[in-house]
Amino acid sequence: MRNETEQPASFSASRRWGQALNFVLAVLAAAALVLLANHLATRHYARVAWTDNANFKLSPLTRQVLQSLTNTVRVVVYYDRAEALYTPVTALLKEYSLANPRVEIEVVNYVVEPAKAELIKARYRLTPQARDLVIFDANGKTKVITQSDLSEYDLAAFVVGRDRDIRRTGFHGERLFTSALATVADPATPQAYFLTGHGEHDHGNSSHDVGYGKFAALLLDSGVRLAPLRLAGTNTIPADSRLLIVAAPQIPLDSSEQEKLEKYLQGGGRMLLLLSYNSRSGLEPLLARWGVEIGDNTVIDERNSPPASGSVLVNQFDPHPVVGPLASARLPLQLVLPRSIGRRAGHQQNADAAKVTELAATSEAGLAVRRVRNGPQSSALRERQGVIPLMIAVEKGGIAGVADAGATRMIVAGDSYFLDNQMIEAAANREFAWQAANWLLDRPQFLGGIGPRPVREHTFTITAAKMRRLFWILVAVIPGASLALGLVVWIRRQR
Amino acid sequence: MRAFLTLTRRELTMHFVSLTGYVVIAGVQLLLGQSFWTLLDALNNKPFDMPVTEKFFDTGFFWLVLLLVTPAITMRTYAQERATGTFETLMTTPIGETQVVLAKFCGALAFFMIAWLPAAAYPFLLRHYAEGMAPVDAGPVAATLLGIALLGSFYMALGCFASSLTRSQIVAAMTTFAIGLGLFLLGYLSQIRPPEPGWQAQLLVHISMLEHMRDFSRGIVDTRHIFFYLSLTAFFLFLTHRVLESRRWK
Repeated sequence: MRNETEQPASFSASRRWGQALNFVLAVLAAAALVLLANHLATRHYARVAWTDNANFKLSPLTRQVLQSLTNTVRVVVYYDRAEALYTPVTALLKEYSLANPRVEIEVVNYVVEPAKAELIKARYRLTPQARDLVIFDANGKTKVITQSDLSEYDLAAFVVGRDRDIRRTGFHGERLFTSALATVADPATPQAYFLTGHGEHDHGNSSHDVGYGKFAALLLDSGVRLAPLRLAGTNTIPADSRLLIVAAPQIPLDSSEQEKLEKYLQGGGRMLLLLSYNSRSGLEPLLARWGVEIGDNTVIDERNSPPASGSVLVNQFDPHPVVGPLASARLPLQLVLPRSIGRRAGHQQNADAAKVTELAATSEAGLAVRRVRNGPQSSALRERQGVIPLMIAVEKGGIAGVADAGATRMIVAGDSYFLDNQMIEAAANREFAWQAANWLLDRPQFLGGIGPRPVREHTFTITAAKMRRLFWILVAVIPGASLALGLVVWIRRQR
Repeated sequence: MRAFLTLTRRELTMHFVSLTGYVVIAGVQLLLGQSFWTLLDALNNKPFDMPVTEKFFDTGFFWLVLLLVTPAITMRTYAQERATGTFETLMTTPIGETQVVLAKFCGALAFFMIAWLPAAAYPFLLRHYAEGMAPVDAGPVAATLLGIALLGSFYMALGCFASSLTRSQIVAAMTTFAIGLGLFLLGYLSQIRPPEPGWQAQLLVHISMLEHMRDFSRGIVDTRHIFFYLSLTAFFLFLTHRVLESRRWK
């Protein structure tokens, strides 16, 4: 009894205050733990897609570009929310931002935020009519993507009257956003030249079928500066040239021009040489010294040539960085009357010599035909049969994976029409152009390739009778079954 | 462990020995079924830009059902025991408070999932009745169920906590509804407010349940969302545990 009175009261005020304090501190500690756990989770996370729908997956190239970002890139979505493209644009950019928080997105709805819209217009010097744009801004460089660039439309169905509206069939968002991101994030702007003066494809022409305007636009999109270059007279290849494009000359280059070209290549130059079946470059001796043999022929592939088209679908690729992604994605190239371009017989593949890789070839059903003119008569001679190489890559002096201005790189393709305005969108020609340009410019972070995302239109039809049946199933049968089961249980328990 | 399983079974069966549990399931299915049918009726024969199942979880119907059903399930967990006087009996048995908290939570969550389970058949039902439907992609359906389970676990933990605070089931239900709605509306701000750079916008996106559910219904599983729900569930269960513990002070 005495002991009991000596013990402190269990529920004294001080003990209760102590418990309350303990409670508050424990709750605060738990809240801090929750905050910390979430903070860590936002920094180290994984996003896994349990679906085959590629619309929510960023391509490996985009992921590579995003991982290489070191500076903040501000993306202004200057859009009316009512526009059909607003949702796919913001959803895609959200994926970019989630993959790298350095991509900061700001949405400005010019319809409901006129003051903010004016600020954006002034900051990016937009025209008063400008609307529905996505602006990428970093390192003092900006890139503006308009709504019309983002979509691919099916005009054919509209023209023949099958559809009342022009339907959107593809969304180019990822390709354009990734290239814009890479362009503004890269502090350097490489310079490329198009050789002119020999009847080459015109890189300033976007309307004519054989113009190279679309190819030039692709290069501009990837942040390359373009200029024409004439080598006649005392002109030389400028020192800032990171890439020289020779697109099917019709008049052979003279000896002085060839000398300048040879000097450029020996000094670590980069060249994309496109030779169609009818081009006359005069570069055969120069290329022979680099281990390249140009065929004076036309190649067909009996297994892969659409009937009466003159084109050849090429799907035999080397695992080279330029065509490797096409091989893994099983995307073919569509060439027009190509000529054979291969490794020269007897070319040494030792450490000092140029490394020649045959990038693409026909199937075993390939056939090279030489055209022989005998006055007005012409006849075709079978030159070769079997697997015939159609394009090659030459590399000399570089160390794999190391950017080195001293390394010469060259791609020679046995066709030039496959990159013209008419054919560049065919098969994977555009992807090849992107890959080739970026390999030549030594931009491995750009290698990969992104095609347009197909726009899937979801629709279903349920007849009125089936709708009624569905209504009864959803609203009566399923809930009713549960209720009936409950009643049975209740009645049984009452007994 | 055996005591925990016995308690969980007791909690779950409590819903099924009376008519109330069946009425809750029927109510959930009635609301979901009516909402799904309304959506189908609106989209029938019209082209739209996302699968109908994804669209369903993007509408207000889903959230309405979720916010209404949670209090109905959890309001009784502790409040009823307190009101009927069985609480002290339970707490004086040789079972730890942690086991009680976890068992009541697991029982409520299991019942919640049972109430939602028939909704997993909706895509297959639609595929059966509709013409021109693409085959059902099982990935998004599984991810959606995972999302519902995570959302459910958070709301169940919140409901258990609210129920542990009072002996009135109505007060418990109202508290759960109010806190649940508040958290939902906070996340909803990220939808009505245009995205802007800064930590505030990032925080709103992080807590936005609409954004989370949108990802799950597309078949995207993001570890950030999983962490968010699991950490909040653990937090509310911890709070419930502390509340139960506090009875010793009195």
